[in-house]
Parts: sequence; C-alpha cells; structure tokens
Amino acid sequence: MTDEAPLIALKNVSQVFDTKRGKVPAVRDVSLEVNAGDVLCLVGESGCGKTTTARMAAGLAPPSEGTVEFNGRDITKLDSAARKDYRKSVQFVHQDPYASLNPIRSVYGTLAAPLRKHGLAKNKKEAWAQAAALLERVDLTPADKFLPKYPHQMSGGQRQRVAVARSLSLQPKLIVADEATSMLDVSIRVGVLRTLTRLRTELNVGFVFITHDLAIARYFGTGGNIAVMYLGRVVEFGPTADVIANPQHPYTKALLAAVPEIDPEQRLAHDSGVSKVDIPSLTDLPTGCTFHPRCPLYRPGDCDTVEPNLSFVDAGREVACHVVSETVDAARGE
Amino acid sequence: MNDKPILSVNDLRVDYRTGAGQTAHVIRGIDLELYERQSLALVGESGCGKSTLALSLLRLLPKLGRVTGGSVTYRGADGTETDVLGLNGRALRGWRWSEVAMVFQGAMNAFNPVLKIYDQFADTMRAHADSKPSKKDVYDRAAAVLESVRLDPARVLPSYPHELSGGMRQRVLIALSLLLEPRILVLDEPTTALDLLTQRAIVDMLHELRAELGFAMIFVSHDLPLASELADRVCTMYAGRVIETGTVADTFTDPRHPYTVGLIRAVPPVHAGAEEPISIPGTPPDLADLPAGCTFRQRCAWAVDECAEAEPGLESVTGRGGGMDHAAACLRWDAVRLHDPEVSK
Repeated sequence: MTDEAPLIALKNVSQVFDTKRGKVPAVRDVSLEVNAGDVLCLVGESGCGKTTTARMAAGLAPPSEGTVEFNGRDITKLDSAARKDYRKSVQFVHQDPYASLNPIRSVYGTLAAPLRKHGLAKNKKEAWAQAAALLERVDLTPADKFLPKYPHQMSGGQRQRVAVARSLSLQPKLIVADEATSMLDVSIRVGVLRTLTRLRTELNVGFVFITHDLAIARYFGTGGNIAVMYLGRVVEFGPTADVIANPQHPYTKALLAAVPEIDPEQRLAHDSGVSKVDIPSLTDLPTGCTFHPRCPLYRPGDCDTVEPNLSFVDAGREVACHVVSETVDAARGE
Repeated sequence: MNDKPILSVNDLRVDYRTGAGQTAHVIRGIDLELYERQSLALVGESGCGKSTLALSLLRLLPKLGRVTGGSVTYRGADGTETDVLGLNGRALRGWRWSEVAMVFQGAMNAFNPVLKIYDQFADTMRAHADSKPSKKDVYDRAAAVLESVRLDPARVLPSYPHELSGGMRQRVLIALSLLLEPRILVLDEPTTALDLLTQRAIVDMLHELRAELGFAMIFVSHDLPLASELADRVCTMYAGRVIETGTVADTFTDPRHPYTVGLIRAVPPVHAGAEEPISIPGTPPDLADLPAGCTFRQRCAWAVDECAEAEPGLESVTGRGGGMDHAAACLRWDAVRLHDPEVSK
C-alpha cells in the first residue's frame, strides 16, 4: 500500500436513471478503487449495475451522486490538460466487435485516427509504424497484412484484437473491458484473454473487467479483486481467487453453485437453496436487504428492514449480509 | 423402450448460396440417431453447422439453404416411418409441432411482438393441430403447459412478450414447444443470453419435464459444460461434419478427437485445481473452399502427413468391437488424450 491516491476511485457513487416508469436506481452507493496494473472484476447478473459502474469509472456517465476521482482529483473539476490526460489514460473496450468498429474504416484508419488526433504521429509513415506496433502488441501478425483490412474481412477474434489495439493507442493506464470476450468462440477466448494479461504484466495497464462468467473472472482476475454486484450494490468484495474458492455472501454462493461443470464426476450439488424467482425490479426494490426474498439465510428482523452495508469478515474480504456478519462477530467473540 | 431410433439422419448434406455467388457446404454428410427419451447435444463453434442441422431436421432452412442429399426418417409411436424431407404442405404442418417441436434461440425474437402470449399459443394450435381448436381448448391447453413450466397462466397469457422477463420468455417458448405433446424437442442454444441463476432454473426444469413427459431432445450449444449437464450423448461438430460422438462421460473425460480436446481445454475451470486453459490456434476453414484431407489438420497438434490425404470418417475408439458408441473422425484417435502435455506447448 502506498500513500498515493489510486488511479481511479469511485467514492459512494450512485446512478439514478429517470425513465417513463419512474426513477431507476441502477447503482447505489458503490465505492471501488483500481490502480495501474491492477485488475478489478465486476460480476453479477443483468441489471446488477456492473456496466453502469464501469461507465462511471470511464467518465462516460456522470454519477447522480458521489464522485469519480482520477489520481485523487474529482474528474468533473479537472483543468483541460488534466482532463485530456484522464481521457487518454482510461479507455473502453466494448462487448461487440461487430458493432464497435467503423465498417468503412480500414484497420489502419481505425488505429491512426487517435494517434493523429492526439499528435502522437506526425505523418502517415509514423502512424503506419505505430499502428503496426499496436497490432503486434495484440498478436495480429504480420501487421502489414492486417492494416489494410476492413472489419468484414476479419473474424470476431481478430476484430476484438483490433478494438483492444485501438484502446492501447493512447498508452492508457486503465482499460475498462465490458464483456470483451463473451461474444467470442471458446477456442479463441483464452487467446484474447492472454493478450490482455500480457498488457497488464508488460505495460502495467490496469483493468476494470466486467463479466458474467465466473470462470473467466477467476482466470483473468488472478491477483486482483472482484466485486459481486446485485441490484446496484456491491454485496461481496475481496481477492478474486479467495472469493471464488470460498464465497461468503449467499448470492455469491448461489452464483458459483449454478455454474455448469463439464466433468460429470466433478459435479457438485447445484442446489444453493436460492429461490428461483426472477430478480426483483429496480423500480420496486425489496425493503431491507434486497436479496432477502430469495435468500436461504433469511431471518425476519434486520434482513427485511435494514439494508446491510459491506463490512469486513476477514483480511481484505467484505460482505454485505447481516447473517454472515453476525456469525463472524460471534466467532470473534469466543 | 423401443430399440429403434425415433429419428435417423442419413448422410445429410446441406449447401448455402453465399453472397459472393459461391456455394458453402454447411452440412457435409451427417449421420445421426436419436432414441426415445434421449438427450443429444450438438456442440461446436460458430459456423460448424450445428444450427443448420437443427433447422433442417424441421425443414426450416432459410431460402438460401438447400438439402442436396441424404435422408431424415422419423419413426412414429406406432412404428410408421415418415420421410421428413419428402413432407409437404399440410402433412408437414401436421407433423411439425405435434411430433417434433422447436425452441428457437433468442427468446425475444421468436415471438411476434404485437401479439399477446395467448394469441401466439392460438396461432400455433391453429397451424399445427388436426382439428380447429375452440378458444377454451386453446386456453386449457396453454394453461396446462404454462403450469408445467411453473408460470401463472392468468398473468402470462394476457401479456405481450416485452412485458415478460428474459427467463419468463424462455419458459413460455418451452411451454409453446410442448403445446401439442411432441415426442422430440429441438432446442437452439436454449439458455444463451440468460443469467446464471435463470439458466440453472431452465436446466433443472428441462430435466424434470423430460422425466415427466418423456420427450427426446436435440439441443444445439456452444457451451460445453452446459451440454455436459443437459445431455446423455454428445456430437462434436466441425466444418459441417460430426467429428466425435459418444456419451457425455466418454466425450468429456476421454475425448479422442483433437478438436473436442481443444474445446474442453479452452474453457477455463471455475473451481481450482485444473490445468491452464489453452486456445486452439488458427481459424476454422472456409466452407466454400475446403482444404483436402482432414479439415482440422492445420490447427491440430497431432497432425501427421497422412492427415492431408483423405478426410477421415468416424471410427470406433472403444476397441473390442464396441461399435459406434464412442467414435471419432481422426486417424490418430489412438494417440489423442485430453491431458497430453504436447497440447500445452
């Protein structure tokens, strides 16, 4: 731990969307940090707020409440030089490489645009050389063969590598990747993840990595932290390997128990006791702990009246659950 | 239990006309047998032909697709055989849904967005049932199948598709497929795009429904762990052919085709203790311009010179004359092992 401010810090951020059907609290009171070279995985089901949280970190959606800080400074109060630095430092990789690349731009055109715009390349020759170096970074070689290509001439995995190369063009300190591998076929997914891991270890790029796939989180998030989100709140936080090996929150337990297992002999019991009813609507959240209507640990009392906050259950591990906290406190008391 | 398959596919071939005026050979000689109450998974990656195969079983190929050879035979409950590829008009409509029904991929797109769920059920019954059903018939039957997928008919039937959650829509689709009590369900990626807990609920429900109603299933999936949980048997597909077939236990614990090995090894495990995942090098071949010999050889760690000579057919890997219970289309099946250190290099 250093005294320096984290690269990006979300401080008690909330995001409320105003819709025709009323106010939708997509994210409520989330605080997270990520540093260069770190990886923070955000996991949870659709509508849990993981994408909204990541968009706030990338400055794509200003929070309704709370602040986003870049090197300790509120991003809404940056002067123009610092703001430009923030914009360059944090890049976004989208889920769908079929939609995120301009179909009438060649790979060279896609990669050269930010290089020229930010003055990193002074002429076409420089831009070409830098674009080629970017493609080599993401293992698209020989680069000269790929630079003149258009998106429709490439496979999904190749397109996603181009999208990653583009995000690298401004030498970012943090990449926010929103389900960046979920549309790729399994045989190439690991290759793209390995490329991303190399960016982390060789270039010290940090990642906010959003995924619904816990196996992918475990693989890519090694050495980092994971935040499990449910209905707009973080319900469990800790080192990725520990949380996946030994989940504490009943929701995390349920998610892990639901993961299909390929080897019939290794299959564990899937029944986590979680009620199979659909996730409650964000416009009509349950009282108290929002997980209580589905929770196998539910006890009348605090669970349906008081919303639990994250509290430490172990070194670096936080859980937002009354029952888990009580159990931990009782064990400590002995 | 009947010892004859209820669905047999023989040397099926399907071509697609591509935009560039070429012909893509999407299904290249597939044999398949489905027995009563069996659950069969077709696994593989984009473009391997698994969805095309599923669609051609119900004669639902899009206009650019054409069956160029082979046969599909359906054996009814009374033992009568139907040549599925020869069915037309009313006979085809009467066969579809009452004998074989389909659960389409993408629960949102499969419904008509401007029709209430009740009307979708009524349409289906009018199109495929023998006699014209009354409103009460439709309602009673729809209510019964919706209850079997644990939905409240009074809530669901008057709703429009967009008023239901993704998980509910997927369950309505399954209910719709069960409407005329088919003997076979064909499911295309039944849980893709669903959340983990919803997916788990659908998987559990399909197991219960199959035990209760006794239908057989063919389902298409790119998700191997899911296939392992839902199926009894697995066919791995690559470049328009079945390249390995076997029970779930054989296929996933002792695969003998390098591509099946590659797919399994490419999935990172969620629980500790397994090997580092590895991707398969290269990309699948162009179906309009296939290489000679084995179509996988350029991506294969086991490939030898002979692999370029002829495309291998399925061959039993059980030795001892075990038949085709576990078979792989690979010259080197005897050398292929899931945990071969050669692959990791």
